[in-house]
Amino acid sequence: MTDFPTFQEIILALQAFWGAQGCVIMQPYHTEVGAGTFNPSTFLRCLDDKPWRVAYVEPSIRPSDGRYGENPYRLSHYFQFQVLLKPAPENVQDLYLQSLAHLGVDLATHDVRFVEDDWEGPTLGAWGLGWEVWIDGMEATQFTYFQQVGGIDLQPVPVEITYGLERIAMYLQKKSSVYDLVWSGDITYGDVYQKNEVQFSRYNFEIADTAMLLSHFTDYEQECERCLAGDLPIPGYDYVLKCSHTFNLLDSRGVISVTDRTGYIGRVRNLARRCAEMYLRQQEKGSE
Amino acid sequence: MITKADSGSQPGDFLFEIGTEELPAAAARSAAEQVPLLAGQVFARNYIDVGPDAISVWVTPRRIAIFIAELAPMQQAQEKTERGPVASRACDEDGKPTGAAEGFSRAKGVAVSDLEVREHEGQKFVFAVHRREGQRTIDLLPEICREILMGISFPKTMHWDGADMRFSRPVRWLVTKYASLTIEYEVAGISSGDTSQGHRFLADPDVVIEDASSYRELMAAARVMVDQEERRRVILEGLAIEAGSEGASYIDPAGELEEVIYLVENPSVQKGRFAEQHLRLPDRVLTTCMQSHQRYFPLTGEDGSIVDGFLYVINGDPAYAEGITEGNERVLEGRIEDAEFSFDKDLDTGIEAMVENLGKVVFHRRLGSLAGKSARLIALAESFAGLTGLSETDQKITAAAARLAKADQVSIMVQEFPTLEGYIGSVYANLEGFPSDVCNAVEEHFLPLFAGGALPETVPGAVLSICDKIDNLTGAFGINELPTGSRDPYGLRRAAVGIAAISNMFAFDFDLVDLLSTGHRAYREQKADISREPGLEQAAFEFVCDRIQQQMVEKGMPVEIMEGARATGLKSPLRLMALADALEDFRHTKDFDDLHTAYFRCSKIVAKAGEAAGTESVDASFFEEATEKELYGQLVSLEPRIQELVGSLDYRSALAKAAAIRAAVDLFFDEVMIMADDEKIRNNRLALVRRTASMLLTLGDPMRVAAAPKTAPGS
Repeated sequence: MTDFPTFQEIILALQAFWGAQGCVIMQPYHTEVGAGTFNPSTFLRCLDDKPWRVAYVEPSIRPSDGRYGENPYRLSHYFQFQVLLKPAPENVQDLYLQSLAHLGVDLATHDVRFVEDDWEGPTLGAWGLGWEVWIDGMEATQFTYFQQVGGIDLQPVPVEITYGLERIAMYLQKKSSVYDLVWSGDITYGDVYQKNEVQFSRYNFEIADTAMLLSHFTDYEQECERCLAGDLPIPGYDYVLKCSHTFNLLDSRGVISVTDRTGYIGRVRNLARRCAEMYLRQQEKGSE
Repeated sequence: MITKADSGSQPGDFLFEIGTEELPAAAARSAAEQVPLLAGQVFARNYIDVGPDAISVWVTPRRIAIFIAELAPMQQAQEKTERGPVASRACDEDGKPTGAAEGFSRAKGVAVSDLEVREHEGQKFVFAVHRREGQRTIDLLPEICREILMGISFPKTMHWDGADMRFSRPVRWLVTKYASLTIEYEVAGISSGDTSQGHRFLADPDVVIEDASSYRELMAAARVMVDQEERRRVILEGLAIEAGSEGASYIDPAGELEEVIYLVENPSVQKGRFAEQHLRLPDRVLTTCMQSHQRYFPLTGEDGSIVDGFLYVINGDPAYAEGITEGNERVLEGRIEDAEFSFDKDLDTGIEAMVENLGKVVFHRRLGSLAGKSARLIALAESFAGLTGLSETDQKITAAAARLAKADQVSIMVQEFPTLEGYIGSVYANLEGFPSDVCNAVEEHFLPLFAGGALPETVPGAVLSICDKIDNLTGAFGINELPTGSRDPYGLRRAAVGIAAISNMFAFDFDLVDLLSTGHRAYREQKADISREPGLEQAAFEFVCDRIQQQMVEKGMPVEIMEGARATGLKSPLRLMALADALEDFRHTKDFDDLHTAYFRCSKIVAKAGEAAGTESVDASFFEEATEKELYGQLVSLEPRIQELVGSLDYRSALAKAAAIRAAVDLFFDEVMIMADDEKIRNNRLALVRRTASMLLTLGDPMRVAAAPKTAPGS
């Protein structure tokens, strides 16, 4: 028996908590994303004016953050627990704090703070204002009132709460290496993922075929165009995600210069914006 | 709407508290600065007397509170007047109102008896006087509070529900009290009442404010220190005490204190440690780990170097500080280990390998790699050495540093901590045994980081810094990516004022256009995809001069003086600034009048004679009159002396010397017929005048200088 929650217990507890708040508990998306925000359950669903509450675990794939499994804090693949509430309830900060208490954080004996952190997702044409939440100096959660997504001004305003699951687990389990986290019983995070980090770091930094990726980027971009031409923003958006992940891989292979970056990001943003606009148009038509 | 029967007829303390979700520190600071003035204006607009120092504004992350002691219970009576017909037409001989007066009073909606005779511009008129009794303050407060709330401005705002209101973060409650009265109203769906919120975790959430005067005490009891100045005092005291108890000093190079004050409502200073073994890391790396993001205050020992402890400010309960510190220590330990990991990886790579790798890093798609940049820096430094007569030692150091300067751009540390660029490169160079002069130049070559920021202290550092900026300027001009509006992605404005500041500090006297051409040539030799249009150097030069001009004008220099100095065509920023300073001093003297008159007379006749006349050199054998010989004699003896003074940058003395030519100029103009019939003689005289004018013009255009306002604006 341990006196702290295991990694999977933390996930189960957050699902139970937000499920009780009326959130649809979704599953991770099937395509690589850099953050839970990219999941269509957030990106597309926050655009229209219909109420929507959702929570899900999302593996975040960030190729250039890999450290060959050697660094105890850096991962190219980690987990976010994402909550989206639309419209943002007036007591959303309190709800969030209750979720921490639900995980076993005694708020009166710790130092929990909301520290300004304005979020911007240039590839998604999205921005919002909010905070990173600190627990005893550790950044545990991103908390954002979305203002714009896909270049569209949002009304009503959704709030996004993104827990960094590994960090919260390291805090609750008092571990100083992510690989020492207890996933379940005697299985550690390292047992599950350390080899993956080693191999993916090599792949992301050294092996990935840049010529193939460059041509795939263009292929995906064109496929997205074809989807949009066929009035299919949802499949189209899948290709936005593929473009975005391909770009991230190219970036970690170091073949994208600072100025080229802006160009690639602009291309992804442009597609994301058009998918968002078409999705919203279809939603509005559907509700007439 | 008032909740109690009491009408608020006595002066009473006023409280308006805007309850928010956590404001960013900068927004809170900005509110603390702007709201006193804003509230004063709103009350004044509403005719309620509030003394200038009577308004206190207290700001925490979760509230903006406006407190006014003894606020007047009534608005002042107001009087509005409208001018009517002249008095002689409005009243008859007996002083009775005429038809004109009656018509006017009807039109203005006042009784004839409310008309008054008053003087206006020396004539008597009839005025309609509207008087309005003052209203009760409590009836006006809802509108006043609304105006204040809506009047606060933030650089970045958001909306959070369907209402139109925008604010830095969501507003969640309002408290409005006039003494014990609760003023109830609604703004954008938020109701004002008497209930505030205490500390998020350490007090009962609801705090009922019985009376405005007890606000501070009630909040203190709810573990909220509302007054930012009190928090500052408490934090500073705590820092001093805790540092003292360690026999250490705390440092705050990034100025985090100003942030921290607005991150807490219940501050207490705590002490933490990190593993001693990390002290092998360079001090600035440790300081960055502690200050950036975490906002801790590093501790230093007697010799000024970092020790294995830090101070930080918590918002939680000091009774549980131990556990909170444990968490913070673990976070810091993680950050330092992360930095250490990167540092060691970089050491494994080595600075020479980093230099090798620069060829793979794109500086700009059209401008080549960072290796190209390093090569250009070496070429620029050589050219600069030639222009300024740098010592051989300094040249060698600069060249060695130029080769290493960009190496850290491929280090992991700079990816992780961009603010360490330059510094960390110098650390790596030092660890590999490069001479300290070379390392210092590497570290300094990014300076200044902002206009007015610290400058390089060594000559090689200064040279390299200028060359780096020249390279950025020529590159950006070559691909036409210039600053627009608030966007300046390559920091060109900063580069321009940096070049000026360093030239000033080191008295670097060099032809900037020449150096810019070297920079441009270096790009072309590398086959960079850069514009070959002529005049790019000149455009970049004018850009730098414009920035120098703007900076000097901001400091109070009249723009005409800068224009007067620039009219000389000087290509050295140092000379341009020295001349402008001299002109600004000189123009207030009597001598300036002489200089101005002499130049004015010369330039007028030259303009009249036309461009072609008198362009040959002066031939002394054509002189006929004594006064023209005299002027020529003076000019010939003055020219080298002025050149000598200018050579030693003594523009002030040069101006005074040059002004002395006025007497000779006056005599010449008074006694010599310049437009003589003999063309040879005429042209020779015009040539003499031309030469006099152009001698004067090397010291600035007196006509522009004379156009400057007599006293500098604002003085």
